[in-house]
Amino acid sequence: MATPRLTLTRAISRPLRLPRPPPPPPSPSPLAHRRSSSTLPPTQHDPFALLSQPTWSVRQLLEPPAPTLSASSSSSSSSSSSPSTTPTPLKNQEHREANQQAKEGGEEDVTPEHLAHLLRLSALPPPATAQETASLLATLRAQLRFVRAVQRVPGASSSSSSSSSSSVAPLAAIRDETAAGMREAEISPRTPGVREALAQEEVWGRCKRPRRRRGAAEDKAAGDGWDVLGMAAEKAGRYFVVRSGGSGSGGGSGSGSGKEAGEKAAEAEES
Amino acid sequence: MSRVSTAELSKYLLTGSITRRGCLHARFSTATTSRGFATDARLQPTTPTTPTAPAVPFRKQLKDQNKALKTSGNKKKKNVDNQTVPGWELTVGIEIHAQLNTRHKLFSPAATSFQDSPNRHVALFDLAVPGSQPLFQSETLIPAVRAALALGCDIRAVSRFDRKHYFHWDQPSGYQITQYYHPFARDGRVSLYPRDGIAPADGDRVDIEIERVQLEQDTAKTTAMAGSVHWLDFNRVGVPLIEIITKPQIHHPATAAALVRKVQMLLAAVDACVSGMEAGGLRADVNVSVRRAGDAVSPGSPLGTRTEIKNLSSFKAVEDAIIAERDRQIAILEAGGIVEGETRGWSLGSTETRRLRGKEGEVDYRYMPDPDLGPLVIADDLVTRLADSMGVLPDQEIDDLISSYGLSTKDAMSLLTLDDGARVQYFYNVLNALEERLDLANDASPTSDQRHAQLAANWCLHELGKLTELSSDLGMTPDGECRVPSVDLAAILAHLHRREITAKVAKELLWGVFRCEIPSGGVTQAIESNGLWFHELSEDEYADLADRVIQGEDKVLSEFLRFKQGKTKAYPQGKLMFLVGKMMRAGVEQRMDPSSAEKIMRARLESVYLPALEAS
Repeated sequence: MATPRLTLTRAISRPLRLPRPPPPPPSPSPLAHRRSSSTLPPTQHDPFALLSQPTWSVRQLLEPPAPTLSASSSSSSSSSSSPSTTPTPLKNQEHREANQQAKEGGEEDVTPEHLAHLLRLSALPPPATAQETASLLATLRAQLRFVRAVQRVPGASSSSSSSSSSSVAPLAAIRDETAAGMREAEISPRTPGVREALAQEEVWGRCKRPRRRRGAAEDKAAGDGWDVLGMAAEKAGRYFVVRSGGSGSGGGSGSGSGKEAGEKAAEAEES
Repeated sequence: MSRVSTAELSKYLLTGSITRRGCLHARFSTATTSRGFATDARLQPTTPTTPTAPAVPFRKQLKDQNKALKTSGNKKKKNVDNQTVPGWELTVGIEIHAQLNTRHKLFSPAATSFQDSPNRHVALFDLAVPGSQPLFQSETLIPAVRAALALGCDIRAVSRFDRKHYFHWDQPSGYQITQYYHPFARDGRVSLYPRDGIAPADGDRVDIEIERVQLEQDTAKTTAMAGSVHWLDFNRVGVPLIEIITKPQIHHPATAAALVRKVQMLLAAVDACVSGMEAGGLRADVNVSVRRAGDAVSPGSPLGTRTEIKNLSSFKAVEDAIIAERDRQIAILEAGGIVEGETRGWSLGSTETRRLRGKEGEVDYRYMPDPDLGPLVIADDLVTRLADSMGVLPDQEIDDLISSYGLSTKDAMSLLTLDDGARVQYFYNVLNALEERLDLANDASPTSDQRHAQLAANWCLHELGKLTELSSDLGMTPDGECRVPSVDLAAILAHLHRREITAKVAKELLWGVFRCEIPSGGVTQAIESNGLWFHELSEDEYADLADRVIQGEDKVLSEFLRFKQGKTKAYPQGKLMFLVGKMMRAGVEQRMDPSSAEKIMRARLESVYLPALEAS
């Protein structure tokens, strides 16, 4: 199977730069299914052998740094074709009691000020006791260690690896992103919403510019027919009422200054 | 009035005292004391420290102040050209948010609305009710793609949605869905010309590159009430916006304002965003930085620290805010300080931007790809279909008007902008009808005389504007009809063009049509019944008038003689017009045309009067 491809290559005089090695011989193993993701380069290895020995573990990466850190990073770097799994956000309770106060080797630490800033951004209550602060910081540091270890994998992030030419984009969601899947998700003039909207357009003026015809009766079913104000804690006619001023109104003050003041200040409006 | 004595004058100028002698109200009370006062002051020279000395005259005070300012170096020079500051280079980048003209919102099937009853068009997802999911409404792509194409961008086939997290009461879900990492359009270009209002220092043409155009959601409308209470209307949550981000290539404030204006015009032309800055449909944020002109010479040298100005609500505000911020930054840098990267605000009528939040209040948006939404895949045939149906863009239309009809740039621009583009439709209607009447449709060669088109343009712009105080009172419909039907105006202009009526009569007819005194289609009938035809005087009759008028005008004739003999350089046009005016008054005005009278007078001067004067 490999031979015909190689002869084809030789037949073409212009040197072809093949991005990946020739495909492997068909293996009788039932697990050798073709992966649909294009990010996995097919290798010559046997999948069974590859997956029989784990190259890294969560517990290993969460252990205290310095000597174990280099070991974990070397072991993770050996698997150049690591499967692109989503780094799971860690909230494992058993690792919390690994109360490390040790500083990160050479990497910037998380200070209590950083923690307070992050909690404020997420509108979470600040820690009440020093012990709570310490445990939160420990969790955060452990999580950061894990993330940094993943980022050290060659190809994981384009900034860290200089040698690899192809970087693996982080997976945002698992969807059908094959060619067929993309074609299905495509928006074209035949897509129902677009087709209706294009049908409702008219050409206007000497310059033949498009105009959306207005005045069509609004869809009664779309968005109406439920009690919009039913969940309002406070109402004023048909408006929701929000009180600002003073700290702690749901993170309003911190974010009130953080919000870009794009709106105009006071518009007189009758309800 | 009697002359003021020199003694009194010198007393006033040098010491600032006015003798009260003769002042009624002070006659009996302070006359004696003031006189004595003045005398004392005259004997002793006034010193600033003498408490009894009279006040320094105000004019002198101002002069002293100015002199002191000048020596200290703080004198505010009146900057005639505030577009450039010598020695400094300004760099501006603009971010424009425009509301798209669609029927439904971006991720929910609720309807978009404008000034509707509050909280009436809100879906579950708009209020972030737990369990609600976004549903991408594909029709929002139509105006978005058209907008990007109008700005000359490349449309990316695959783009993705990201979440921008921040907490505010007008964002119920706690994040805004935008396209941070992979926008749907990149690398566009907007060309600006002097007719768009760029700074003269930018020359004949400026090309500003658009870095990206991305889709995003709008937020709720907040109305501030008394007592730190806010009323929220969620009709606007989730309405699709496009954010247009330019590269920092603008170097003058007027060019920045011109860019925003041009983008608004382009978006309105392709029906992508039909509400302008005044209606709140288009908002602009500007990023301003300065650096010394010497640093700018080497390419790739870093720009200065930039500050962002938000909350700009009009084109003039854009220009003024940039100028104020540039001056502030230059003042800081010249004094040896450092410009902080912060967010500032501007309100109309201020002289300086004010700080909204600094670095410590900066929000970390924690952008992350939205897991609920799949990639946005735009088919090529959709892009082609939308590109083909965009029509003629405004730049092309202006060029056509200028080249085909010989209009001036200013007139063409005015036609396009008046009445939201309806005025130019009216002009086309009038022109079509006029050409029909003049039987010009058949010999439409580009080099043919386009005087009738220029006449039509003048009347559509200026005469129509004289009819009402507000142009909205004309009742111009988008199709190009108003209270003066285009066929009637064409009839008037046809007669005027063929010199069958005078301009004055034509204006009267226009008034008549506007006030419905002349029924539609009855222009010719009205001229006939009122006897308004222009029966011009013959050449001989003009000549007779000229002879009558020239009697006793020897002084004026001598002026012409002096020009003929080469003693003066300029033709005495004013004197000629004086003679023409005399002719008009002497003759029957309804039968006279000032331009032909002028021609006849000029000819007779040359041929008859001056030789007669010379001979005598």
